Amino acid sequence: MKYDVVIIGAGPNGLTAGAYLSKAGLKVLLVERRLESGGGLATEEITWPGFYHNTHAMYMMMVDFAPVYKDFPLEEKYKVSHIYPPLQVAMPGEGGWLCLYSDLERTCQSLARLSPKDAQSYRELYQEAKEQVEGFIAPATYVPAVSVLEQLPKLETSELGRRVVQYSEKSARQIIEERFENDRIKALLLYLACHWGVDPELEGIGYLPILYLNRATNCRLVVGGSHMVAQALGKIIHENHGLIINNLRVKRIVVKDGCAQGIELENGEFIGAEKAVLSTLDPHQTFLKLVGKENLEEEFVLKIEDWQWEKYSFFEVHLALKEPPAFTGAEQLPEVNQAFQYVLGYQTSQDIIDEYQTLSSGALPEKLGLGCSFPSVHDPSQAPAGRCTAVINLHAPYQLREGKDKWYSLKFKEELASRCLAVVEKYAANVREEMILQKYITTPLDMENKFLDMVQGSFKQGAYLPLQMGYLRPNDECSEIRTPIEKLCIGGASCYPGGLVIWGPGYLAANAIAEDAGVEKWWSEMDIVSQARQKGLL
Amino acid sequence: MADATYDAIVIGGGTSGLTVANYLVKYGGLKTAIFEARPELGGGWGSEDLVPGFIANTHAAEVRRYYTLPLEWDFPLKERGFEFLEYPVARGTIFKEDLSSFCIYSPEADPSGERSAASLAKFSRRDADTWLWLTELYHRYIKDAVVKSLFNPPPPPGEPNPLEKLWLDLCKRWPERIDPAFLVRSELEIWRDLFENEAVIAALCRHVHSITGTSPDIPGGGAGRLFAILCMVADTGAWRGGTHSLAHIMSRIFVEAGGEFFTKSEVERVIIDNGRARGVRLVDGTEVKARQLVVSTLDPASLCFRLIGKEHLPFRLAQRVAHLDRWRICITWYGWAVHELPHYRTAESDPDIDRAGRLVLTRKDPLAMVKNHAWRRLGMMCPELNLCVWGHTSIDPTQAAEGKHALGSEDFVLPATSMSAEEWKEFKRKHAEDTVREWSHYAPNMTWDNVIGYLPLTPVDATNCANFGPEGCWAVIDMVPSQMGGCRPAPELAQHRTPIAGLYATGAGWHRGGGGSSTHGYNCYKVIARELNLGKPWEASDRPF
Repeated sequence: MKYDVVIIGAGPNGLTAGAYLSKAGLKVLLVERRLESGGGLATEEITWPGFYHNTHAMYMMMVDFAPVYKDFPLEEKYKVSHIYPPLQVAMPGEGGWLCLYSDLERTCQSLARLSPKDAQSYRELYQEAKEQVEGFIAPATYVPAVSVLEQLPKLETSELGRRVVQYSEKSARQIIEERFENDRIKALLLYLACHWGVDPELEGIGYLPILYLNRATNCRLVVGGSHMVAQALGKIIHENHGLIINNLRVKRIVVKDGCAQGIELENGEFIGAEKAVLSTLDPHQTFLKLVGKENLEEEFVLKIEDWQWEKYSFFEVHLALKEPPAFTGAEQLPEVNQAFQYVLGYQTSQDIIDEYQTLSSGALPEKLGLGCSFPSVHDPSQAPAGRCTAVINLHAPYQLREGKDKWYSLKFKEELASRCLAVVEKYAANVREEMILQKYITTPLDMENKFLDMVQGSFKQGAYLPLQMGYLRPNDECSEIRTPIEKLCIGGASCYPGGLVIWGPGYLAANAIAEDAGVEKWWSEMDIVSQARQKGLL
Repeated sequence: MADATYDAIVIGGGTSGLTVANYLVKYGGLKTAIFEARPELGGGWGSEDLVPGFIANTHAAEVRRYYTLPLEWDFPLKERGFEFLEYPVARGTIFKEDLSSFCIYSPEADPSGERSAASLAKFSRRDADTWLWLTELYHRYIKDAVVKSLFNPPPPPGEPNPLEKLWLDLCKRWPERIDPAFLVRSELEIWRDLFENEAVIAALCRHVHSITGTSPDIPGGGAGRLFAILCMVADTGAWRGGTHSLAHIMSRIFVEAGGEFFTKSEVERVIIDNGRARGVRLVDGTEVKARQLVVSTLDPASLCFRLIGKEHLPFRLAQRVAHLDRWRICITWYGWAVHELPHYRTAESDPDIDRAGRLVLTRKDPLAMVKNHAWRRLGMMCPELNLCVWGHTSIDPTQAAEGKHALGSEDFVLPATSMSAEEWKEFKRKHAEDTVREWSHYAPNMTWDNVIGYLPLTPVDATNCANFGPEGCWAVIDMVPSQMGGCRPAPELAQHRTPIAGLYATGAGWHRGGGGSSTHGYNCYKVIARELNLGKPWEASDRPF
């Protein structure tokens, strides 16, 4: 069997690359180890009939920027639509609810009740973050990475660029502490800046807190669940005569004279790739397992072996609830029952910092802080009439002090789930055991078992560290999609620009492969990218 | 999609919908669309992660080679990664009283039946000989007739189907062993006509129960009952990766061929104009026109009372459909993620028992399942478990995390409608406890320490596909004799036609019944192809169906 392009992994990035390239006329094959395609775009009916749970990517944070939404008629033709809840994040506590809305003015009003100064600071930070994201960070997400040496001079030429650089040098904690005074506001903002795995005290990746603070009020739920996007991209691939095959296990990437020839399956079958092999897996699988050290320079192997996984992963409890949550304080402010995300259990920014340190040591905090969401409140089609879906996300280490296998203990999982529930019940009294039809618990170890590329529960295929970001993701020799092996490209979350269903790596891989294969790109550069180029930022 | 027009519209994208739609596109050359209420295609071809990385096959947990027979002839399944994996030890039984056991081997592993016979000989030499004879009969005469009867619309009530015709012939050759009375005798009576050992008969009744879901003492059934009994000789297995794998393959082949499918698009009604189906109206109000035909794959009640409407139905048909039995095939189908496969005490003397595909854990009581039905008929749970268990990871390691295993367990319980959600929640927990306790009696390592997690599927959960609702009947309607063959779901509908011109119907509520088989969709296409003179791949190839 021979294809133009063989893509390993049918997650969001593999599907994106597959959709672009098959529409460009290339003969594309996607091989996926799992029974289901979509990777983190998973919506599963795993508790009670009619309850659909988004077990990984809960919301889409780049709908307003990502090229897939612009280049494919996802909404018009494929019925992929989004809900953008007006109240995006809410945190209960002493002094009332803190609410972040899609509308800046309303957010400022909410913050002003605790601190007028912080409300003003938020307004300023919001504007700055918005400018930086729209002007640089978002466009940069969809163009290949360049080295700091090349990027810095471009940024230095404008005020916006200089501010991006200034922020990048800071830690999330510094960004928050410098501007805000109220403990609870600081806790909420630091949580939002870091909850996708950013070390709150780590300097050098300050553009991430800026991005996440900006995205915190730009989260959209996919109607019917995140998997609907995967289904649409799968349709596009097959309409364009591409092919996805599930349950296929790749044994190796066949390399001859430094050039990728195709893949060999575990059953010995060879599948040729004329133009490119694209791996969307983590660096260890791609290079150490599939390519093999014998085909790589020693120095390159060392870089790959040095790859750092994430310090913490997620313990999640999915619930089939008899009814939607009724939060304390809803009598005065009914809309708190309609927040998209809740942040519970944190009092101060120190709680976030302590949590990170506790998790890094392989322990769970004594006092739990967590996030939770009730998606069917916003999209009733995700639960039977009158019922409600819920997800509780607790940061949790993969490597527990007692060993990772402790995550297999049913008793341990159930007890931890009960502790999480107690936190939620404190604020929403009807989210309690009797109101739960069924629970579905997932652990960091489960994540690795389900997705081999999420090593140690690394939901972004590897930590966000200064030496693993930007041009260095996964390393300076292959951050531009191409690798030291000719015709082998990489395009997963471990590549620039990173993970969390931002549609970057797969899109960039499609661009690089189309260029190398000499096929015409049917899509054009995004406007935000062109504008950033005109301004000299890219 | 709004205001779109297709040649053919298929309502429901499950097993039957995907089958018939693929034939309509590829062999009928029709512009075809599938409308599915759920977010995912596949219906009974369903699998979920019971614990992340561990697969539970939520409806068709056990599959057979014949399920995909025509599909493998007519579509490139193998090239798309489809693989049927067979259990070399097809069936095992361990008796509760003394942990004695026997195994039945697959036709591949034991073509002559001698290994199975040797295992049965522990209980009765005579029964072992009968098994050998039955195996020979199956392979020499019956296999082809089974396939013919499966993959053709059933003859009308009163007329014998290919398997029954053959049976009547065979009866003349072995009048001392079999006779035409088998067509009207109960399963239990047939087993007792053939076998002498009551323990063996008890085991066979429990095994067959997984196929029929019907009390062994119900008389009649003809070919349907014979088929189920002869299945004991045939294969059992899994599809690599999980049952849902075929849903992906068939939906992709469909899209490639130009078919369109729409999930989360529930059809509310068939648009009927002058007694003819003209299209469908979705619950969101969208109307979609069908130039040539509409196929329903919904359950008979939904077809008649929702899609068509009672006003278009003759009185007797409406009565029949309204009173179809659908309480018997109500199952617990638990998925278990475990560290290691159960290791049975019995394996010391019968090592193959650890590898049995479908393992029945039962008492030596041929009436065990009769009693189970009696309890349920009175609206009560049977106080005794009647477990059948399996572990697909013993033949397909891809269904669990590396080095770990995924198991299944089955019992027959009350319909979903018999209890409240709270009661089912409590039942789910208790049934898990009971199952592990019972299982560990046979396999000491099958304790809670071995359990990583479990997915408690019950009749309530089966209703996730509306076809199985409201009772959660895994075969859509029961597989009692009066609801089989040319009577399934009613004689007026059994030929896949409906009182509405241009509206065809199929699904597990039609001839052959439950199971993730392509039978229903294929037979429905046969009827359509004959009426509309569409492509007939079965004529172009040399095959017996």
